[in-house]
Parts: sequence; structure tokens; C-alpha cells
Amino acid sequence: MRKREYWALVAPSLVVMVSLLAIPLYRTIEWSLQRVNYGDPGTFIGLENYTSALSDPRFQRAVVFTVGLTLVVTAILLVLGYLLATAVNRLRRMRPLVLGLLLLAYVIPGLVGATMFSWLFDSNFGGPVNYFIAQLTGQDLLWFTDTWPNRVVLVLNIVWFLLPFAMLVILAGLQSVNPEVLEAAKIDGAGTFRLHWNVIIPSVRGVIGFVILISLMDVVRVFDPLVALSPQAAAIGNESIMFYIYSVAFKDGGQQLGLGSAINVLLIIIIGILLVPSIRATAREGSR
Amino acid sequence: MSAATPQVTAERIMAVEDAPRRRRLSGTSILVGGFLVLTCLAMLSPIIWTAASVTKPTDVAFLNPPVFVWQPTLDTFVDLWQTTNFYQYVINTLVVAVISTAFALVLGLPAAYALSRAPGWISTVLLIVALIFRALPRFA
Repeated sequence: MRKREYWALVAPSLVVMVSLLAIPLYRTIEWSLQRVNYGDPGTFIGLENYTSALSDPRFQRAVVFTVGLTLVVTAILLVLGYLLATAVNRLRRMRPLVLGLLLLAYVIPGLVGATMFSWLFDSNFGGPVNYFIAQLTGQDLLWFTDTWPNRVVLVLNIVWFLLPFAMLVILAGLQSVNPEVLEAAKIDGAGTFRLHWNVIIPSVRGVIGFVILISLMDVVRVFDPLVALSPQAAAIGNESIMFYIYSVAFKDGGQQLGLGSAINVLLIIIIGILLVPSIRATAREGSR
Repeated sequence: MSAATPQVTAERIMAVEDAPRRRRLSGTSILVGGFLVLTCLAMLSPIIWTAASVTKPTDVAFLNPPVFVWQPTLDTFVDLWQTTNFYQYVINTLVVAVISTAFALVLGLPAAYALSRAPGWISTVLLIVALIFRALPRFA
């Protein structure tokens, strides 16, 4: 029968997806309410993990830093991505080559990319950026131990590996802009800035929303760049939430898995809050 | 006369379109082209620098201040294969990649087929579940 075939085909994926989603999530919530050592079953301690997490100034610093980083990176991604997409849109023959070159940064695994980035800035390893800055201005910036230079390097790295994705998505959106509307606007005398601001951007509203969504989701969970570029993150105040979870939950061989799980749940809640508008929009689109 | 005027104006519009197009090709295009070249170079700089470091002989590779002219060599690759267990890591990665891709295809293709033929509320549910999956922190 139609219906039985349908469910037979869809069921395996659905089962795998839901179980891979539900079981770890359940475990995380379960552990967040307990004190858990690696290998022991947990002892129930109620919401104590949550209160100790929320009152920890290190956690609050991490939240502030992560949210700030996310907003800055998202803004840069939108502006640069849009500019790049508009520029690439003008190419014809060179487009595959330029796209290929730009996409290299996206396909490189995060940790590898971050390590390569760190070599550019590390004076112990002969970083050319340090060399050129020293030649030009005579100053030596400590990219890895000073707070704000470290933040600059982090922002640069995250923008570096997310920009190709943003550009590609916005480029796809630009393809669907109605040329007649553009033509009409040009005849009406719209200058370049007005053309973009009032005509093109409203048409690609959907893809811009998508870029914002993915960027928010991904940067809030940033971890790989910090491992390579900011090993002393806690000391200099550049810790992201994931980095904090990692050091809390897994150091000493997993002593505080309960606390780590609690922070994980809080992070999921934060991400959920960020995602609610987009999920609602997707559900509305799907049911139309 | 009134029948001829629209034609004349149409031709004039097309002719006017051609002339500024040739001029537009030089001014803005140089700016845009320059911007693209700079961006490509900036995006590729870590990769170019790593490729450069990899072909430098080991004693010169990480010198400070950095060396920009050197004798290219492939010693690093030889060392990688001979002195570490790199081949083991490659095999591990390949095994994981192939098996997980096969698994994903076997699970996903039938479901995709069914969904494309008879989409319903389930497709929205799957989409939202996929989105949530993507959004979860890695340690959860």
C-alpha cells in the first residue's frame, strides 16, 4: 500500500535520527542533575549544578565573550559575504576558478585551518604577519597572550572559514533576483547604493536570514579555533562556552561530568532562544 | 510621425545602453577585480604560507624572522611517512569516512525518495530535527 511503503522507507532514517538525538540529550539532562564521575553512576543532587554554573563568574565571562564574538562575526560575515557575492556575481569565465579558490578555506577542517592561521601570527615560528607589522610599525603585538589581539585573531580565523559559505549562499540568492525589477529601478534612476539597499537586499532576505541562522548557530559553539589559537583562553578572558565546558567536564579525566552537562543544557537553551525565530519561519514555510 | 517616434526612441535607448557599458567595464571593474584579487590572496594566505613552510628544509622552516627564499625540498613528507604512524591515521580516517557515508546513503536514499514522492508534515518535522541536530553543541 502507498502508506505502508512510505513509512517503511522513511522509518529507518527517522528512527536513527531520533535515537541519536534523543538518547544523548536525555543522558545530558540526566547527568546535569547529578554529580557524575567518569565510570560511576551519578548521585542525584538536583539543581545544584545549575546554580553553581550560573553563579560562576568564569561562566558569565564565557557567555558574554561568546555572545559578543557571535554578533561581531555574524555582522562581518554578512557585510563581507554580500560584497564578495556581488563581486563574484559579475564574473563569467573566471567564476569557477575564483569560487574554487575561495572555497578552500571552508573545506579545510577547523582545527587544521586554525593551526595554519596560528603559524601566520606566531613569532616563535616565524610568523610573516608579525614580521611585516614589525617592519612597518616597529611594534610587536602579542597575538596569543594579550586579550584584544587574541580576539582579533579569533575573529579573523572564524570569518576566514565561514566567509566562503556565506558568500556562496548569498551568491545563490543573488541569482534569483528578478532582473526586471533591477532594470526598472535603474530606469527610475537608482544609484548603486540605493539599488542594493532598497531593491536587491529585500529580494535576498531569505538567504540573508539563512546565513544569520547558520552563523549564529556555529559561532556560539566555537571550539576548534580556540584550541589552536588561544590555549590560555581562561587566563586572558577569551574563553568560549564550549571551551569552558571542555575544561570543566573533561579535565582530570572527567571528574565533573555533571557540571559539564548542566552547562551544556544551558548552552542548548541559549542556542534554542537564538533559533526560535528561524525555526518558526521554517515551520511556516513547510506547512504552506 | 507619431508611429515612427517610439521606434526611434527605442533604438536610441539601446544605443545609449551600449556606450556606457564599455566605459563601465573599466572603472568599476578594476575596483571590483582588485577587491577580488586581494580577498582571494587574503583567504589563501594561510594555505600558501603552510605550503611554503612544508617545502622548506626543517632547520629553516620556523625561523624567526621568516625566510622567504629557500631551497625547496620534500623532506617533510618523507619524514611524515617514515617516522610517524601517519599511514595508520589515514587508514582510520578512510575507513570511518567510507562506512559512515555508506550508512548515511543506505538510510537516507529511501527516505528521500519517499519524501519527494509524497511530502507531508513529516518532511517539516525531519527538517526541524535536522536543524536542531546541527545546532546542538558537540559535547551534548
